[in-house]
Amino acid sequence: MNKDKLLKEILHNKELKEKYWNDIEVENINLNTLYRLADEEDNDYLKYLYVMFNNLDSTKNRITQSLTNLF
Amino acid sequence: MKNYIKSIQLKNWFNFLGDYSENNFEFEPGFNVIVAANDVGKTKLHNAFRWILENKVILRKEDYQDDEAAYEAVSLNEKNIVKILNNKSYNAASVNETIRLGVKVHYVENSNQSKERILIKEIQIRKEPDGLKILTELKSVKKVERGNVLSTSELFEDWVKKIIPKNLRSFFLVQGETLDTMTPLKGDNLKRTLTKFVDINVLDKFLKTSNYASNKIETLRQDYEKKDNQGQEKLEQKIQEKTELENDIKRLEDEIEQYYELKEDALKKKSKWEKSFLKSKENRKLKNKLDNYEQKIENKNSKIEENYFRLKENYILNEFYFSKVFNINTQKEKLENSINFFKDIMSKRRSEIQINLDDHIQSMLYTLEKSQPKPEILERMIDEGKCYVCSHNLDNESKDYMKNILIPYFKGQLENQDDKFLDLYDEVHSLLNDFRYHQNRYETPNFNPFDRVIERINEAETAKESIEEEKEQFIEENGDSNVKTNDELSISTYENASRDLEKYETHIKNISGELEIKKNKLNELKNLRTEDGEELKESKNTLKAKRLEEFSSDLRNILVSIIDKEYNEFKNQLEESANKNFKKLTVTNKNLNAQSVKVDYKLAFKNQPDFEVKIVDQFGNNMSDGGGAAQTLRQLALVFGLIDMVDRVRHPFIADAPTSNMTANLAFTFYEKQLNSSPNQNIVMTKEFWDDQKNDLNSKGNELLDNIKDNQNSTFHIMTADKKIALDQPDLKIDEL
Repeated sequence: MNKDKLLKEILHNKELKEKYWNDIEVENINLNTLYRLADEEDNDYLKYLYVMFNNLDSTKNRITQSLTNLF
Repeated sequence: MKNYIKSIQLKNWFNFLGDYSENNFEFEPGFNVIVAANDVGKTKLHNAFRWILENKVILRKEDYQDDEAAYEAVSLNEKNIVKILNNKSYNAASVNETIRLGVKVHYVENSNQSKERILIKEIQIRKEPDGLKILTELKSVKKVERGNVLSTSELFEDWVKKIIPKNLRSFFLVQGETLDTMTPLKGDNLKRTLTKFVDINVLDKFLKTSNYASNKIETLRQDYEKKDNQGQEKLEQKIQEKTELENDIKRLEDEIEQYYELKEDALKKKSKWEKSFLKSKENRKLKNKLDNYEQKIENKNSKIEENYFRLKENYILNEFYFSKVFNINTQKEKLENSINFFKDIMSKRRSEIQINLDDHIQSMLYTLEKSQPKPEILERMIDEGKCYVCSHNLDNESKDYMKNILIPYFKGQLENQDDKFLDLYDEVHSLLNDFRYHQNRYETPNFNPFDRVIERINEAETAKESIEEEKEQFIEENGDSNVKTNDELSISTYENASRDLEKYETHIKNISGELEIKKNKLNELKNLRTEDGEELKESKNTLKAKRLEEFSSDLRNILVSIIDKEYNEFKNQLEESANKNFKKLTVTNKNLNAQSVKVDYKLAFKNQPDFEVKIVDQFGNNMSDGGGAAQTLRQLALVFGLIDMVDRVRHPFIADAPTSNMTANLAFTFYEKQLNSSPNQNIVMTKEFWDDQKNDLNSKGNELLDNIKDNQNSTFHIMTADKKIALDQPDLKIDEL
């Protein structure tokens, strides 16, 4: 499973969608457009997802910094 | 088209003595079987593939326990190289001579464009007096173009990965004796093997990142909560301060409102009484003027009265003066008598002195008496025999006189005969003083003191009349008795109202100032959380962290479910694929064919998958404990199930004795199946088709050979001791070196 497929699985997960991005159209979202959507919608959960995908190969310090930047 | 190994060549590799050209095996892209008896070199040939592809060889352990595997995959080193190097080449070499052993694999890749490469791997060894020393290991890749072998800078390892990728080697490079350990059916080894085939790399990374992020978010949330608590205390202080300010402002506003009311009342009162106040004030002014006149008249009356009194007093005093003048005359007469008496005494004494003393002494004593020196001074003068007054020397007579008369006299030690004189002296003295006083005071008394007083009385009467006239005129002009009781009331009411008004305005001004300060302070605090739940910035962060914490937890659960789903899908595919192979492999055995492969899966500790491959009968009973052929079939079914599932590139399958535990029929079925339906190249070494007694192929071998002859993509090799040397020599042992 690649990143894009995983992102789709997560974005379309019924439980997550209803709870965290119910009113947001995520049909055509991919890794390149995720952050723009999260920013436009000001949705912290999508931003958090972006941080996760963007830091899969990052150091712990880098992940910490990215998470801290969410606040 | 498929990728395949075109040939393998060996140099001094185990019992394969000589150069590459002497030990050459050619293969076709399809099924290739190498049949040989035991110890001819099947496993050694298979090890050549393993050394190229995995940099390891499988060797029998020196010492092993019964409960552990007899073989292990090891890298070549100076200790075990002696087992791999052909012993004849070793024996033929002299000490310090370099010997080479190596393997060449000719590989054909059929992707878009066919590529042929020869992978060469060699070790240079030097024979030492006490053993072998590995000098270098050489790896190279040659490309074959239009029959020409050319050098290339391509990496050896890159091509090794292309022949069989690392994660597939357990299934494409199979060794019969180690099939159980290389292809386990349960436990950690199976888990490790199978997880290589499930592409959860991204999922796994995501889960790890998510786990770390969850912990971090939790830490952040705790930090924010800590800050909140600290901020909360400050906030509570500020809320209290705000409440106090609000109360103060309310109180001050009430107070100022009251003062405004009072001011309004005072203004009304002042306005109401203003007219009467002005009138009354005018009245008061008139009254003051009249009062002033009255006061002046009163003053004049007082002056007149005072002068009348003085007149009376003076009269009395003048009577006194007359009586005093009379008294003075009497005393004057008395004084004269006393002075005469005193003069008598003095003349008598003087005559006494004149009789007894000469003139000089008398003069001196007279002077002394006049000066009346202190007795102590006189005594000192006697001692020194000199008069301090006139500086004359004193004779004895004078000294006696001074000692016996003057000193006692001055010391008051004279006899009482002079007391009468002294009393008289005192009396004269007193009379003189009295006389001097009275004489000064009454010598010229004013016998006409009344005139001045009467004059003053007349002046005062005149002034009084003038003032009374002025007053009358004033009354005539302005009227009399204008000041009434009401005037006092209006004046005091008006003035009180004015004072109150001023007082209230001061209060209002002060309170307004205080109110402004407090309102400004309140304004600064207006961004605080109010009672209806507005949050501080820190609290927003805490809430955000809590929301993300919850999301992170949900996300992880979803991830685990996705991972679980992935493994389940893989498990189902594997089960189906393995079962398909199992059915094909057991087609000739009714009992076994009735059974099937079952793959159990569950997500265990730390989201790690746990697999077990079982054989079950038609009723679902576990038949896995049988061992032997069934066990091997189960493994082969798993191996080919996996190969079918994952191998889209079609890598060569290179196996040594994969069917060693099977019956001849089952083994034949396997090879027939591989020959007819395997999409991969198969290079299989086996002894199942060799008859040791006849030293030739058995009937199944011949049958297979006949089938292969009809298939151009397949080869059939028979490896015998006379064909490949070294059958007659045992493997070298370290202790023989």
